[in-house]
Amino acid sequence: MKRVTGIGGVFFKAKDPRALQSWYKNHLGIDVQAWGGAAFDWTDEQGKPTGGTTAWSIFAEGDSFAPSTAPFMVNYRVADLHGLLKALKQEGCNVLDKLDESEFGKFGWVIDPEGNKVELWEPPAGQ
Amino acid sequence: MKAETLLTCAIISCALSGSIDRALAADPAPAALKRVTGIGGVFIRAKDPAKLRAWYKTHLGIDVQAWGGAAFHWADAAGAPINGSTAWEVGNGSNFAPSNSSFMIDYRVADLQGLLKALREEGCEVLDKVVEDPKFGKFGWVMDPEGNKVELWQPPEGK
Repeated sequence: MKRVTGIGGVFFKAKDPRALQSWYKNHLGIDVQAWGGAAFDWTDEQGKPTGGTTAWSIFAEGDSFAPSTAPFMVNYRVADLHGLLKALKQEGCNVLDKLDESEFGKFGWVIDPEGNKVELWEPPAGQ
Repeated sequence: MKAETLLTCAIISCALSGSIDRALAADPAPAALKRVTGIGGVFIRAKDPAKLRAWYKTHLGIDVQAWGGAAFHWADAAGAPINGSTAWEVGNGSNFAPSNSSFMIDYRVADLQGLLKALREEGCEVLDKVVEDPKFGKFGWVMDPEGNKVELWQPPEGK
């Protein structure tokens, strides 16, 4: 079974999210949106977007990545979310019960052995 | 905002780009200098790197290499790999110093030397070290205001 196929996003917490978002916008030129992050298009050799993206965002401290207390969370692209979650459960991994499915894709979560929350994302077809 | 809604938001914001209100003030950065263009990598500090790598390899199917990580090639619309990639690594975090963070993000940039110069002029805490490698590209580092080490990477031409 194909499992993780890429990095879909990286998210981290800040003591002062607004101030930190402004720093990344002003100094690193990241086009931070109202929701607190940006989506970077994957591009080909000519710089043309291919449809894939990697998201980036800064969160407020608190329970954003609960039950993990880690200051960051990585989103991994997967080919078959339901198949993978079933396999992870059978393998004894700490899979969270919650699932999210919408036109934006399917999301599930598992906790790694060091307590980091791992977001698994099956994008809609063609993204 | 809940973590799980993030990508949803990212997608919405892409779809509505131009119509979304900006929450932040106008950008003073000069338009001439392109700064960050993408996510080049994400690096995780582990208490037991070997064990954590094994977990990601076994359960998430990540093809962890001898150096402790993997490079995920970006894909085109048909799913075929293209040259751009995002690296992922689990390590002991010694390379995050002087930061004590448990993660470090690598950002792709178009012009490392130009950006480092601008960041210094803007009063940012740019580290002195710069690495230039013909195979892997150019690397520089800056500390963000919350003490995270930010890796800036100018990939080799065509990568």
